[in-house]
Amino acid sequence: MTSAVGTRERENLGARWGGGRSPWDVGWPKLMMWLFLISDAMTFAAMLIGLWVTRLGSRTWPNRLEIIDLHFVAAMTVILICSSTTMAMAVYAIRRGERRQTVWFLAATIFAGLVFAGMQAKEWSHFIGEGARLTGNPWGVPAFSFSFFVITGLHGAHVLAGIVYLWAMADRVARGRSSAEGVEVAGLYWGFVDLVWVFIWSSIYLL
Amino acid sequence: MTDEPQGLPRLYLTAWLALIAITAIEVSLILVFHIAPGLRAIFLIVLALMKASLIGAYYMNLRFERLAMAYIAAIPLILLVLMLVAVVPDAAVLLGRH
Repeated sequence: MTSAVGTRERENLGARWGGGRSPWDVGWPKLMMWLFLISDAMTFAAMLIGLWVTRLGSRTWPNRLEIIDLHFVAAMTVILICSSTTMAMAVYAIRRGERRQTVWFLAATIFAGLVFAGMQAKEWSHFIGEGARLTGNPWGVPAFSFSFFVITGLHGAHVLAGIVYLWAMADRVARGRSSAEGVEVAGLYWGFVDLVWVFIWSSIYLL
Repeated sequence: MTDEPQGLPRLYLTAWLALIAITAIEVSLILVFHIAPGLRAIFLIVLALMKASLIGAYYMNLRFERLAMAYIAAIPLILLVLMLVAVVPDAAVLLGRH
């Protein structure tokens, strides 16, 4: 079968794409992580849109300020933002070959993630203590507690998975067994966790 | 490869300050200022989009990647808006009920 591409062009293509590099000239690990993050964003988006439609369909919605301590959740938001900054610094450090600094910044990110997860757990236990369940709550709108638990639960699972992921990365970097790209890809995941929280925080607590 | 400027830590710090400031504004909109709910909702949505853009651009490096990467991230967001639009008839019915 004759190809429209001449022999010399085919050789150049082969030189540029000799297997292992992606068509956009972006490394495949980064591209694949982005594709995963986009798909994960769709999952969260579907849940948040479900929440918004449910709220539109509800005659009333509980007053969050009477139930949840907004300062507490704002602190959680700030902590997650700080963790994104330390993560970016970790990527910057390994790009410069500073392995020790990288491990320190990864440890700081993990610590912030653990604090966030702990605070989320405290919020959940307070909420459950007030009578909130998946099937109902004392404030008259069952969908309120259901959507709260499902959405923050899914996000919390992402945070916990991220902590494990970063822990593994910190270990690899400490042993000198990780590339800069590996840390960068982990940074993309953690940035995504923060990014989704921006919309969850706005949708569940503010709007 | 990515094409980054020299003062990256400074950039990260600036982004961090901006994110904290926007969060403070969001909390103030709820706890301090008393404005109409509709207007407040618009402000909050705009602020959320600003935060998301900051995180995507600086902490996920999209600002310095090849444009193709930014498109990969941005185009599904357009699809998301379409998904929202698809839900509008249902939402309108629900709104109309009360």
